[in-house]
Amino acid sequence: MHPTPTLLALLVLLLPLASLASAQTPEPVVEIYDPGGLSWFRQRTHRVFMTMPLAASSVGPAGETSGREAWGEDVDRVVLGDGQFERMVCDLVGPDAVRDARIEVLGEHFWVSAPPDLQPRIGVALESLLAALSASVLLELHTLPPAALRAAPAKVLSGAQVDALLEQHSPLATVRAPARLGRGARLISARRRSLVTEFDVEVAQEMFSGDPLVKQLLLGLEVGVRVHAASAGRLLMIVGGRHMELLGEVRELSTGSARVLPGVKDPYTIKTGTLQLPRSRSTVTRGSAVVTDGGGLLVGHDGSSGGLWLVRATRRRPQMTWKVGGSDLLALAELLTPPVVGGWPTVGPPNPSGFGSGVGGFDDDDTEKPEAFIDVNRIEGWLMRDADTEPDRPPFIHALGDYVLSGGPEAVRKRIRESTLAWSRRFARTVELDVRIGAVPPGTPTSPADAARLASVLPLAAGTAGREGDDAAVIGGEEEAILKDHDIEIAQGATGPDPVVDSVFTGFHVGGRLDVAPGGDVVMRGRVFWQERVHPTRQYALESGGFGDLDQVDLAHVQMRDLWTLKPGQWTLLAFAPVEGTGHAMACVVRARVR
Amino acid sequence: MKALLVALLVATGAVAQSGGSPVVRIHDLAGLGPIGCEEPRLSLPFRVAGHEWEAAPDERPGLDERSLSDLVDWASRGLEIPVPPMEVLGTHLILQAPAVVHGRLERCLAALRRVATERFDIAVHVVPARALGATTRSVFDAEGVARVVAAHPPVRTLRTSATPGRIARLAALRRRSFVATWDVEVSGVAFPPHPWVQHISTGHEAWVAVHVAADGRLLLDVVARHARLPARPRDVDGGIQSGRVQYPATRSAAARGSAFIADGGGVLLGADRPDSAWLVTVRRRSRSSSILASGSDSELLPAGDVLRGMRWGFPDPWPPLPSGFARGLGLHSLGEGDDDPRRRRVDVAEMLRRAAGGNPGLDHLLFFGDHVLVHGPRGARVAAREVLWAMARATSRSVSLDVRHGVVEGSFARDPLMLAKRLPHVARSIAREGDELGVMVGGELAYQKDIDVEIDMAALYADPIDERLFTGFCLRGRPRVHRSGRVLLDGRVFWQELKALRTRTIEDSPLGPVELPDAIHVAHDDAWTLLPGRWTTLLSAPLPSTSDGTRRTFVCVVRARVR
Repeated sequence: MHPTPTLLALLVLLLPLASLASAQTPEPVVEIYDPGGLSWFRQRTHRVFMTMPLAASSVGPAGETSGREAWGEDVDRVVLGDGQFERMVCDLVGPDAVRDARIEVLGEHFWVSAPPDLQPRIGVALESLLAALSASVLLELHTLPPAALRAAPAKVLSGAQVDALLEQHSPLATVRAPARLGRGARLISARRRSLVTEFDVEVAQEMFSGDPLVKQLLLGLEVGVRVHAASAGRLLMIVGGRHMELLGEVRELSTGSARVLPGVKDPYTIKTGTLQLPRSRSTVTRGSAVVTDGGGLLVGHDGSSGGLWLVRATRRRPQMTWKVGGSDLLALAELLTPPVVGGWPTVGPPNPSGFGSGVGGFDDDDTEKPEAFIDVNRIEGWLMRDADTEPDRPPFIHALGDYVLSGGPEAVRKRIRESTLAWSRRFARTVELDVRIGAVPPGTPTSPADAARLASVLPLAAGTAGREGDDAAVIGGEEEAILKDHDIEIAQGATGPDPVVDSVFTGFHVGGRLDVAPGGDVVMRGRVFWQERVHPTRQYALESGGFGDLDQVDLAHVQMRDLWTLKPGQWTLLAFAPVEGTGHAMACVVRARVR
Repeated sequence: MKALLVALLVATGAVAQSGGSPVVRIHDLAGLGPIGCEEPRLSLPFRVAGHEWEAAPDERPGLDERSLSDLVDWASRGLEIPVPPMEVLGTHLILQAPAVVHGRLERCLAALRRVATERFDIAVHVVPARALGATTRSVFDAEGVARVVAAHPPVRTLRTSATPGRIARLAALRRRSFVATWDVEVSGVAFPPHPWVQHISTGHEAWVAVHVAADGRLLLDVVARHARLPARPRDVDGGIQSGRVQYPATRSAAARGSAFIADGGGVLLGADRPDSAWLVTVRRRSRSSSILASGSDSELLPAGDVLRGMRWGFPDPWPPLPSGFARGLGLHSLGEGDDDPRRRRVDVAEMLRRAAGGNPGLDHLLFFGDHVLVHGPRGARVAAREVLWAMARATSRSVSLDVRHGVVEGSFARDPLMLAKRLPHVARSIAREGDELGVMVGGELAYQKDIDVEIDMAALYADPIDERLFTGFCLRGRPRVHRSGRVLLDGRVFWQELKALRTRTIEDSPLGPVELPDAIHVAHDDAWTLLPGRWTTLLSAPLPSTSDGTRRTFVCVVRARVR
């Protein structure tokens, strides 16, 4: 803690004033502490977009061209200045601090007025808190070859298992970065390409003009990782991200052609320009797990070379030693962090003119935000019940970021330690999800009893994991930009065609919210979606309209949405259905494991 | 010594009355929340995406904070303790109460969990059309299902697993975009049109719900539909300066039904056209006991049939309408779906309380999904169960409807039995009393009904009006069984045939062509009385004679059976 020179001078001026205080209490002195970044201790919420949000409706609230920048909103995990943190520090130091110390937040500093004998203890308390809150990990994000998914022993891996997997399957790419615990890091290794994907047409009385809308494709990898301090030295890891690569050359499509209207005094032309319509291969995944230090989480699928990620977190220093006697700082992020729900893109069948895109950006407005398992304010009474309070050591409990801070008699603290650890074991388990999905030829046995055999023949594998109550999902496939329709803008003597561009998705989406029922069964409230082309997108000429071509799609989809009960360790058939117009069927089986 | 003994006895009694010292336990509520589902409303198979489905949200009750508080009150009965403090955090309940309260509560929660996570394997088999004609039955047990599947191997099958009370949607669809029409904008001297692109959905789609009935049978609800596009849409000139319009023609079928079936059984419904007959089967993975524990004073009673309410809603085709009128082929269903389930639960609760009244009556009851959890002495529980059975009996029958329809030429006998043998087409459905059944089969055709003209100062422009026409057969109705055993069917029969679709060019103007349908239809709305097991003529209507003077008549006969 280093007071700034200006404030030190102020302190010197104030010291004589402090000496005027009552003779019965020690004279207070003022120290100023630098909170060392506590004021920006914020957590970023995860939101994931599809990789090619070309249609305005699919981008989300941040704007048409830069929606993908809105990774999420910041949420304060430690609030300074509202008195809560200040009370926590006083409780931590002791009853005499509660009685005699005054802590105020001025700007970004703590102004502490307290008797001289208290100041060192306050300093130690603050230093210990800051040390805990500023702990960091080294994040590694390895893009693994697809074969690693089926070879991996699990989705949640120990440090040794991560090492072994990396040795057997050399990463295609690796991103490394340090990250502060509890905050949320965004790892990007990407390339941006600008494309004229749409025209916004402006009209005046006698003329019109096509106003090109230049959008950008984010090619490569973008993953958000939040790592929290969990109990027993473990880490709660929350991962959500996407990967995209272009397929072939960007298609160019003329949107209009010159044309003369008969019967009009001054002929006009319809002419806007040429659109650039890309096609991409995309992966979007989300998962969470409680892992050991140095362990990792494997999420993704084996349908593309960039779709499988191994995320590993390793503490940069050993867990710090708590120096404030008579109190405990318990890392409990697995219980304190609210379930991760919503903020997930939707993929569906394509929609016609006038309706939203079938490939949506995130939509979490309607998602009910569940609360964390532990809300210290609500359970304080439960944990403190029947406490034999000692006047000089009154019990207290506070939540601080990923931690629960408790103090008081050893009996009370022991109860809190044991209760919270027991809750962690019972209510913050991780569910691993193994998925097999794909097309099967006609005649393939597909009764529920055939699930295990289907798992061995289905071509695509995907995997993720989720802490109880979290959403976990994998989306893998292709996105194709299409000229879906033409609108038209008119003025008194001029018109202009206004192209409507959308993107369509072909591939799969499997995921849902995972819970573990007391009997051990996994309850999955989720969705299976599969879509493929029956015929390639074809161009339809609007000859007499003067617009040029538009794209007509022919896609088949299968969709099931339900609440499924999964027996751990067993393959379960989630969906089987013929794919219209293709002659084959699709099947999806999953296997859950509880850790 | 005696005084000490008395004091000990008093102390022991006090402890017994309080159920022991309060302890804190956490109860896991995962999977016990409200059971959300969407009520299907069927629209015509020929539909555009976005319009294709309107779902009415529905929710079966699960455990919420209030019902949990009631449960804790009940679990504390007989104990002289203050109201146990509790907190619901996410999917967990923290409760401080004596061990006996925790034990009672956990037994209840375990029973609720068993029914909430019960699994049913659902298969929707698309069977060959001949399967309908090969049997007169609509409902099959497990052996019957096996026989049908062996004799008529399904051409397609959709499978999923489902939980009771929820409506599972199975979709295997294909979407194709087409230029459905042109919308014309006008300004001073320019009249440009712009294309209106829509998607047509073809394929199979089904909604299946399984409810556990009061007598342990399964009540199965099925809504299924299919559409296929036999050929590419027709390209038609939309008029001057408008582009071409693509007019598709589909072959479509839809059916709705409900019935009580045994575990492993199924329902056969649909029509005798390709991809138009469905055999929907349900197999239960496990069965949960209604008694919570030996010696328990609680029972979890299935009542899916009592609590579900009546279901209806089926598309209603009409003859084509002229310009300026709405479509003859609505996109939306006629019915509004379920009756109010909340109101129904209130009524059921009142009936149960009255029936189990007296002294002592029911201590507590809780609705959970398709079940009622009742607490109370044995006599009151027996009375409650009997009330549920009595209410279930009132709607425990299913009415199957065997349908023969078609056009007969020349003279024919009026005897419905003879007609049934002669009529070319077969259709079938089944419904629980009060529910709606329906079968629809035929084709849907888009055509250029008219061309409007938009004009302004210096120009004119054609604005094509597209329309859809249904050709085929539709029967829907809600059956009820009269005390006499006769079946009352409140419904509608509709049949339509397209004789010709002529293209007429508007010669004296630069407008494009219009298409003029020449369609024949018959329709009859009524409440018919049917004698079970006997064929009854619902409709016999003369049609215009053929060019060679042959008389033609559309006839529909049905035979109802009550199960």
